[in-house]
Amino acid sequence: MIQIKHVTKTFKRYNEQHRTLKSVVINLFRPKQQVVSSGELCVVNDLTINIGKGEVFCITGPNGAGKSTLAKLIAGTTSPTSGHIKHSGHVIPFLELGVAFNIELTGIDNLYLNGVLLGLSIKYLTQQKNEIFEFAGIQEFMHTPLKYYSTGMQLRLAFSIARHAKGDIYIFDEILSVGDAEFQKKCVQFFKDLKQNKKTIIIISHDLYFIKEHATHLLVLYPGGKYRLMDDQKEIEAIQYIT
Amino acid sequence: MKLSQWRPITERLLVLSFMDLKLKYQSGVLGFFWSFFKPLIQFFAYYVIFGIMLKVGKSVYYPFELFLGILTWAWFSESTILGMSSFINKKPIITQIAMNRLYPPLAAFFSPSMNYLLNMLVFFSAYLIFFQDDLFHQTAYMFLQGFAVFLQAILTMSIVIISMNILLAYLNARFRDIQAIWELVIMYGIFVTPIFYNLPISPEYQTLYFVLNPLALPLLLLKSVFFPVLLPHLNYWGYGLHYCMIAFLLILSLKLHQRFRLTIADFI
Repeated sequence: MIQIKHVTKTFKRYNEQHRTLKSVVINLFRPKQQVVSSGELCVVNDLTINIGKGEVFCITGPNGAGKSTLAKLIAGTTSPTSGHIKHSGHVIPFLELGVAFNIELTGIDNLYLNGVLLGLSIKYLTQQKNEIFEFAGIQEFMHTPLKYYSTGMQLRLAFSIARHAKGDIYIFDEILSVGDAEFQKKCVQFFKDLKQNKKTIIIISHDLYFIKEHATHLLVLYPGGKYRLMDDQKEIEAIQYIT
Repeated sequence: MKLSQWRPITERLLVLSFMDLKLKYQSGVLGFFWSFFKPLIQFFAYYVIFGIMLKVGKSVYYPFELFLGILTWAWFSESTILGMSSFINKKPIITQIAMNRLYPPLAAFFSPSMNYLLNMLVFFSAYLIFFQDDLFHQTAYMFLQGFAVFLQAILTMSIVIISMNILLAYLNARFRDIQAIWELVIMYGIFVTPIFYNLPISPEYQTLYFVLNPLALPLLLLKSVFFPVLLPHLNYWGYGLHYCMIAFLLILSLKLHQRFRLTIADFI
């Protein structure tokens, strides 16, 4: 379903950033060693893995290990420096909830804005709008600008819209713990439904209990691009802590 | 491409453009009417200076020519300014959603285009009221010819604007001072485009002028649909070079898109 072959992603580290034409022109006349980057930061290094259909593939590791970068690479929002990623099926990335939200627009406007960007049609969104606001528990705020929503309300609305996106591969970047306890139950139920429908799920998580309970495969990423892949259920269940 | 594959594309562009438009006008006291008032205020200011004080245009058509020029320039300037910031302003979408990177600069073209369309309706109404005799004395052939020239001018300008939007969006993501440079181009570009006067360029420089300013010829053609405008004496080379310049802009913008579409999220 997803083939990741020898994928490396590096970012340049600059002493100073040249974000203007002016600085580029000025630095044409400076010695190169004074202006060029102070090296490269390797976030993902020669990663080769296969993710099969229906797998719950968890990715974990300390901050800065490259979990979100790997999720973005799989989602296709950024490209690898070398290597290639192939996938068959439609990818739905839940990298960050409500990315297209604009706080000046009303809830219903944001529903259309976010919905169409996730691939939902205007007709479908019009049919489902009441159900979406009901699921988020904010029916009475449909026509209220988002700036008057609490953070929890915004996240609940974003999740309610996103769960309607139809795909074969779902990528969650630490977003299953949205909202209050009641809403979290709904999120977990959504995840279980996907699992039952044999969807391929990639989850970035630090929650060891969640990983042990659901992961069929576990990829532990370490800073500098090192990684460890576990595909034995017993091995995953035996983990005591993640460093 | 199947018809069903066009639906998500058109819907995304429609919603992105409509929301841009809504955001632009919902905060102001005048709201959407500001899109009519702004060019009208500009028109009065320029008409007082160029029409009354400097007496640039003496014909009865001059105020309408000026109004049409200002509306068209507003379309160009608003689209390109919005297009230039389209990646920066939509950073979360660019960095988190795998969608075609052409959507933001295209949406930035469509929302001012909706404005232009509505403003043109006001212009048509005023034209009909004041110059109905001109219109009704036309033969069917002349009317169709005028309509074809109108479509050609609008299409050419649309290609120029879309190309500039894509170019500026990518350049602005890489070099943040592009914004200040483009604002200067917009500020002074109005004086080197046939808006206040029609063709003050001597014939030997006309080809160079129409190649370097790709908006000039379609704007003159647009004016010629409604008013008796002196068109340039360009030979086939002149016209060819002008359209080659527009094709070059479009190809350059698409090449830039092809080259940086996968890495633009890293720059932002």
